[in-house]
Amino acid sequence: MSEPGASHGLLSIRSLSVQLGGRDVLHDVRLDVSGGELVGLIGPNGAGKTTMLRCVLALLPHHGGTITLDGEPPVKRRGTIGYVPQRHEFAWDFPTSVEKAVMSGRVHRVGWLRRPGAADRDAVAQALERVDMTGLRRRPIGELSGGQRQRVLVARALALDPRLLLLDEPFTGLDVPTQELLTALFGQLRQEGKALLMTTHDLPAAAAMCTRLCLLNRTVVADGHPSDLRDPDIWLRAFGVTRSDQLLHSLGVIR
Amino acid sequence: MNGLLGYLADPWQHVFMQRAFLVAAMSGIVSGVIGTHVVLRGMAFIGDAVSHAVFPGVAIAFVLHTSLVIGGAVTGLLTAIAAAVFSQNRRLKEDSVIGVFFAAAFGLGIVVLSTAPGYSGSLESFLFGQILGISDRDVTTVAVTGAVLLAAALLLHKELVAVSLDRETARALGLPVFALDLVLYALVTITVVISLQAVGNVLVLALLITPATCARLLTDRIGVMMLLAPAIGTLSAVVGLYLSYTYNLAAGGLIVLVATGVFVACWFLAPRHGLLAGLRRRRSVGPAARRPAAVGS
Repeated sequence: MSEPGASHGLLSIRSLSVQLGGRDVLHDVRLDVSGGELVGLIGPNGAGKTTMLRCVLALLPHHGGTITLDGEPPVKRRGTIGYVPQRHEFAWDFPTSVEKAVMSGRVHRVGWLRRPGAADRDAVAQALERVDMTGLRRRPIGELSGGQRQRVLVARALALDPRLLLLDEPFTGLDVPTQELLTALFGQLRQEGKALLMTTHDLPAAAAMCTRLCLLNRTVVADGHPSDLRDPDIWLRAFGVTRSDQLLHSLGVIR
Repeated sequence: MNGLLGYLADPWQHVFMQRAFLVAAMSGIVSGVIGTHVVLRGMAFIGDAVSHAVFPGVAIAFVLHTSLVIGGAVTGLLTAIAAAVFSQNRRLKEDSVIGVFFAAAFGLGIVVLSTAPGYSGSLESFLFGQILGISDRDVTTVAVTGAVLLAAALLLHKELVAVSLDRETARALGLPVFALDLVLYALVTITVVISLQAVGNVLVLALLITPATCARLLTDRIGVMMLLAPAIGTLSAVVGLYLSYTYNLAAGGLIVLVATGVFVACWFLAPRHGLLAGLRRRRSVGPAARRPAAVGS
């Protein structure tokens, strides 16, 4: 499969265009994510960030261009990508434990008419360990805090041992300790050669932790190392505004 | 024989009561297990739609002298499939569409049934149950069908749960979410059909929803819930039948009322999620030191 260094372009998107309800949501999108990268996908609300993730997961059809994962179309790679949706996508009032919620991320690996085996239980235990939730593994998911819930969703994605992780706003509404735990974890995963693509609205944190930022507003406005994106015009263009001191201040682009 | 034992044993001398107990208990078990999924998905409304949609099929089968179970299953499944198809579209409000369809189905059922001789009597037995008029063949049908339903629910348990937890991610993992929806709707439909005889068309939804709702108040584990809900359903069915036998009152109605009584008791007394438990926690801990609330996002 992948020897480190040779995993170039694990995810490759070319000239992607997507329409939803007859409206152009994305056009001419080009993006590559390789093993060892943590790419921040940044843009205003409605820029098409979640749409792009859903296309990579083969949840939405695209009308033009190509998406390849290891050279294959997304439909063929279903169930190999770690997906961390926004927290409200998950039924937190469901009567189940942390451990079983994480196991639900492997349901297709376990297979029809089968019970989880030793390999499945090990994967779940390791994933829980990585997000520091081992002590809470039997707790009902309805009793978790926001930060604990986010860690459960990350563990569920990690239980697949995926090479590519897609994270939709993983930092929204988290306290500082949870943010630090996840930041450290994403750094480790990157060093292990995983590819991570996350949407975020926390611009300073993204600039500090990501190896690359991709500014998206219907199409890719800019794509580069955070330090290469210090031109205020790029950011104003990405967010479709003519002037926003707050935006530029928060990035440290102007002082 | 002492009083209580005599009271308990008395109805069992009658064959029709033995059959009634068997069918009521089996309906309680199956409805409890399937109802757990219905309650956790928040699809009580679809259960309602299906229970109405079953009616014209049962009426047609009655007029044509064929199997009521098959007749009800066919029209119920057609409606269930329609509901599943409509609800795949995230933009469409499914409840109004279903609202239109199930009223229409019910109207059709009444019209079909009115062509049969002795119309009002048979209408009554469909609407309110006919648990004292069950044949041996009915008992066998309910037993076999119920066993198949329980087996299906057991075999597909983890997939159904994964879809309930997070539809989008389940789809991204490659689970056939639409097919699983259809299977669940089919399970609900057939559960409704076999429970019809116990409590009737109008009250069948209560057997599906009420015990599972009680169980949800009592536990935070779906596995336990799927044991408690059938236990509560069966208990309600049996107690309701005893009351019906003793006081000569409508069995279907009593079964549902007993289940509702259990629900009210759970609502007040459930160890963790009941009203009393909540009050006690508030008093003993004090508002400032309460556990950090589980914050939704």
